[in-house]
Amino acid sequence: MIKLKIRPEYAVLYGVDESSVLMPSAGETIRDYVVRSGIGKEENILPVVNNRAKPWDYSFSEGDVLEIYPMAASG
Amino acid sequence: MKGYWGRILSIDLSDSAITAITPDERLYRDYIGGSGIGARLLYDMTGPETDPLGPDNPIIWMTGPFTGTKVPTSGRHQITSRSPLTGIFGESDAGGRFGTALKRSGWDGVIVKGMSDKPVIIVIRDDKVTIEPAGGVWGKDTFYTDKHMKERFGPSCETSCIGVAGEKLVPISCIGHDGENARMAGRCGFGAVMGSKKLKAVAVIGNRETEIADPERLMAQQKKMVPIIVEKTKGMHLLGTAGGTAAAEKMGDIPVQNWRRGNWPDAEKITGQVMADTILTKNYYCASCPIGCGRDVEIKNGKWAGVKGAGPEYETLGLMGGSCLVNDLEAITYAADLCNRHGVDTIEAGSAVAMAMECFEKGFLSRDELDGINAEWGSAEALVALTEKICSAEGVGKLLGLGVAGMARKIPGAESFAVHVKGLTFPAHDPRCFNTLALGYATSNRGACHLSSSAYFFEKTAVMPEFGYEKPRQRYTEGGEGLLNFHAQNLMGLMDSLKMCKFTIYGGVNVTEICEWYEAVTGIKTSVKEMAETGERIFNLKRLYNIRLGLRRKDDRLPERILSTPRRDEGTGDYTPDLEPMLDEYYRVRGWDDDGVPKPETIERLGLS
Repeated sequence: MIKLKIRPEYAVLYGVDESSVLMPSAGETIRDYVVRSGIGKEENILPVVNNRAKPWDYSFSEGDVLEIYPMAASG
Repeated sequence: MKGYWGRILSIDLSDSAITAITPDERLYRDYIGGSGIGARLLYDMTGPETDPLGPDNPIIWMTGPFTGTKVPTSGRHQITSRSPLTGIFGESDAGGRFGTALKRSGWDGVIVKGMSDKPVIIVIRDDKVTIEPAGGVWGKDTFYTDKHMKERFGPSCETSCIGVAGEKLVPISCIGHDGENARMAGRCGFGAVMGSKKLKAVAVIGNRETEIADPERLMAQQKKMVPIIVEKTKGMHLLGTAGGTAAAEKMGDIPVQNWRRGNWPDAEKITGQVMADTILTKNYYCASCPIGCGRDVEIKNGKWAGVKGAGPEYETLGLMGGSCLVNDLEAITYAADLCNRHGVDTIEAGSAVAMAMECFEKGFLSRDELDGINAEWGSAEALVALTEKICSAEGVGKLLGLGVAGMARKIPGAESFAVHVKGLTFPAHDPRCFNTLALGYATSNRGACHLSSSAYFFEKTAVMPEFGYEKPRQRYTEGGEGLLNFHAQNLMGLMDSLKMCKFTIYGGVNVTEICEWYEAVTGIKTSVKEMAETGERIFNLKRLYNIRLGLRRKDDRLPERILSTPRRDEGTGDYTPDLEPMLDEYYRVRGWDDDGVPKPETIERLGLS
């Protein structure tokens, strides 16, 4: 099983309700999951798996924790 | 030629001569304004012999054709001079309202040279320009000075001024605008240039509008792009630049413990979200800006009570927070407020404190040498106490106020962890996180600068379709860093010359829109190719300035800590940049020789002969 967490600021910015979002699956890439779930646009998301940022072609493994951060500009 | 006044004010403080320069139209065509014209003037007015703190070094405030118009985010100006911090080409850009006021005073820019015997201010009221005694503002902070000028000259008066640090010639001092809202021209030590001239402030009261070539076209563009910019930058509006702090930690972007580590979970305690939930009072907007990323904060209670004004930006949080391991948002805000009041660059100050903490840890600086301050990693008290020392230029503050490069020259053995390029310390973005940053820092003309290339924008979310970058590049892609930096540096130089905020790139603005706005404002027909070449000309001119000073490939370097210290964490792996192949590609793309000198044919093609 893969856990999903959406950062509160992402939820506020893009109006996402975590409880109604589809879950990722093992073997699925982050990019495919984001498209399938409709959670947002790639350009607005920093995907973090197991506490560190991961590339978009990362494939989930059982036990992963995916966190959705806003890719807010930081100057 | 619309969008300009066609005249630049020149003031010599040695003999109080005030003159108007009316440059040839070619200067505006070839160098646009802001950064470009500032660089051209500096190149022509100085030479290798010019002392950055001497009377012959001019300090130049320049607006661009967009300044004072309704082009989104155009309320900006550029300050150019030879840097007393680095000794090389220097420039610093600021938002706020001063640039707009200067443009509305009927001048495209102001050149100040010479040196006054006594502290003075310059007052520009449209055509009436006076040099007046500084009086009671000398010795006062930037907030007081700005407020005093508004009381004296009216609420529309905008001020570019120094604090006490600039008066005392602190090498990392800077220039403030907008009073407590603190829009600082932070980098390159220009507070000391003003201080050396005994120039406390330039106060501007302007009420004129420059003529726009095609106001309807500009309005149509504005109506089209502003909603897009607002939508795409709503994260910055909501959380400011600090909104990226948590994400930066997850990526390995934020500096941690003087660039030794790649992760720091305490970043969660100093984010824009925490700021919004605790001390944020409202957003602050620079002139003509629809984004409003500025933070106004207030600390009413507790140890760091009394702060009321600008909240810390991401860069400040990165250097005073992550790099010092200080997780107390209010203490960082307090230290940043000290810097804003005294006119000190928070990037350099935070870096200097981090370096002092490492010196303390390694035994290079004793507690006695640190004036009794217990400079342990993570100590909020030490951060504030050392910042106070820097700001007042007292005790060990004189050492830290030299910046990390200057500290390394004074502390044997410290160069191995002094993180700077060409004397300018790193901003809060790690080149082990974004491949293109390594090359961007190494080749930036003013030293380590994330904004002169901003190539990492295009490894996050931004695109440059006009130059073949339809999608953001993966940040660890190898190869092509030279070409991306070439395009990005040219584009950033162009934007710094037109005067617009680079955050519009996150807002979906590309070169095509910039060309549209340029044509609407000036009436000069242009193209993406021509604009890109103008950016290239401007970048090369700055390079030639430094070449004239003797800089070469040996100076396009990265510090030992970055090149040889893998951080061994999951965010960045063991990646360290392999700079030499990047430089080879970059020099080839730029038309420079193997030593980094622009080839004669490049100089000829760009009209720089």
